[in-house]
Amino acid sequence: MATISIKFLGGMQTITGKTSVQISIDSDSQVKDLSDHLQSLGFDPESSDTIVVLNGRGLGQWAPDRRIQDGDELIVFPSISGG
Amino acid sequence: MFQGGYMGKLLRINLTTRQHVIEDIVAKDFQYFLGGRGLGALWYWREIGANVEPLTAENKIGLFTGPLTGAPLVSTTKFQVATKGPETGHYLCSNSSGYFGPRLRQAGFDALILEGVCEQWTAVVVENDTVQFIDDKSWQGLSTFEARKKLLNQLPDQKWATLCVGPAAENGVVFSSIFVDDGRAFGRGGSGAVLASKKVKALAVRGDNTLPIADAEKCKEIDKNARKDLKTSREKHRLLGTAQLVEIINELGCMPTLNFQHSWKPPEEVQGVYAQTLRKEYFERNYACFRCSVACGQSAKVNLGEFAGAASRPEYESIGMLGPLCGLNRMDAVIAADEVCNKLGMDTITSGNLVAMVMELFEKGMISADENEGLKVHFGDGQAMLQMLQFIAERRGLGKIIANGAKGIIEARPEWKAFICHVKGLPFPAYDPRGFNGMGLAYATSARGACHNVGGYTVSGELLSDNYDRYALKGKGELVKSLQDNRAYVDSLGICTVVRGAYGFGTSPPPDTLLAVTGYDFAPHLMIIGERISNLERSILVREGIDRKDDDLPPRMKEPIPDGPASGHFISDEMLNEMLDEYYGLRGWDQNGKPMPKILERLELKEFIS
Repeated sequence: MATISIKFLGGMQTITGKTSVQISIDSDSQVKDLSDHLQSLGFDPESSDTIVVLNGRGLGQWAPDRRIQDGDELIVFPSISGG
Repeated sequence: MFQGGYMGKLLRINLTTRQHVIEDIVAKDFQYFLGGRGLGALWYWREIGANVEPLTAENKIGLFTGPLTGAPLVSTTKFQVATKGPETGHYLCSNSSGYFGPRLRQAGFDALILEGVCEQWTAVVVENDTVQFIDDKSWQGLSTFEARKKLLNQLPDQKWATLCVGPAAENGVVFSSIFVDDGRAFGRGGSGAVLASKKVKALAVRGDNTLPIADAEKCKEIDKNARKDLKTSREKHRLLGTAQLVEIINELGCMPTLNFQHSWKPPEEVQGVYAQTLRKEYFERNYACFRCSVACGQSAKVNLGEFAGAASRPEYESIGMLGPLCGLNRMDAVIAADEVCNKLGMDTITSGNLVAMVMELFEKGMISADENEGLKVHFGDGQAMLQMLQFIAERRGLGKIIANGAKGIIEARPEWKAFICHVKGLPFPAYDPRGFNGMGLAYATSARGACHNVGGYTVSGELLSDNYDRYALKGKGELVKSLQDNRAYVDSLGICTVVRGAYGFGTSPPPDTLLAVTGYDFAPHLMIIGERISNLERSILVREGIDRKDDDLPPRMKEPIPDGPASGHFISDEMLNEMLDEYYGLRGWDQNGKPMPKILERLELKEFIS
């Protein structure tokens, strides 16, 4: 099993009621499998209003078959700009 | 050509002669430039020469609405100012929300021009096609809020909208703002100083006209659908406002901190200025602009402690630049500093940058309290920051130099150049571009100096693209060009960018909204109009002497970020040049950044600017 952390930033905390969670997933999981985990937490990774970042880069910028590693970090936040 | 969406009139007020004239705006100008920022740029090209000095009687200042400003649709609140800006010394466009744009349309006008200069301090009152002046020496010295209150007290009880400037503008602070109604603003570039240079302390406007609408029934349907969309899509915006970006941008390693010496701090050192802190400890109510159901403004007040009584509606940029950039992890101090900037009438982004510069110079022992009337200003000292802001507005101590902005500072003290992050004289907003290379290109090429709006907000695109990541160079030229052209037409519409998704105003906009309002199918032309505006603005800058050497980033961007998620990243001259080459090529500009005849012909700009 691999343990990864998911941080919920800004308004995304209202969906989970938490600032972060740690989840354990099969050690042979790949980037493309993360969508299912995010959906189970109430997020739609395909939504243009949601941005998901894995280890500092956009989730879609990783190879879909990249193996998930212990300690990987996801952050999820609303698409927002300005101020 | 248009069955609605425009009043077709411009009000021109000569402050020297006290005469005003009403002029027709030809339909072709709307067809090619839409309104708002586009119309303002066209007017600027025609009327403000390259050699006009910003704070002289020769300069003019114009307010421009778009076809949707004041239309019966959600959040049709935006309008634009255009003038020669004192902070950069060049073309300035700036947008604001509030009620003034819609009220100007009710008075019967798409645009209002002020030219000349008054003999004494005055307030200009526009009611339908009448113009009055309230001359009064006692306008001088009032804060923005006091000026608004005094003005409204002298007017009949009607739905007035107001513009006001503060003491900073009166003292020629080159980054002084114009305040709209009770707290929105034309923040950047110093339009407040231009207004004050004409001895205009305030304006009020109202009227009894109705904007013609091509298809009112269709508008009702569009409005209903947009409101329904916004209820869910902008729910988080209403709850936490733009302040939620503090946590997001810090987690991405791009939060300007301690005058861009760092771009990240551990969450426990930043969470004092998170949106959640604002909401939990200081929030009073949501604030809505004209016809807006989102109400993203977060009215906040400090009730306890050394800053008790302070109140403001801090947005992300203000929090970032008055908070972490100045070493402050306290929302109460940020609210207090934001309020002081609002009362004095100063741009919070530039103010934060330049106070942070002073703090770093103190830290490095390069200046002493002797130069600043005994006041030491160190990182994290909220009270000193408030005093320094006052000094700037009053041109006291180091404020005498700081009030002249980045360009003036570097001219007076060249040894401070390394400590100011700016482009063309406009200091950086709250995104360190070393963590998002596209932001670097956006800042470098923005038509008004370093800006995340006019220049293009690349953060989302650099995280969502399948073709490149945030640290890539290739592809950023295309991204920035697309964002700039998109933003140029949105800034010309008269709606708030927060709601534009509900209308589909992206790169492939649907026809229904503008068709319903104007009766003309703008949709297939909107991105071309945006590109036309971008090229017109660049042509203005070229006329004013801007070229590739000015599309530069400051020395600090060439140093690696020392820590955090974007640690080690920088933007060298070679990296910027690679992005510029791609950008200029896609734009149809030559290697020096000048639009070539072919692109001007393709965009049908030649007949307007020959």
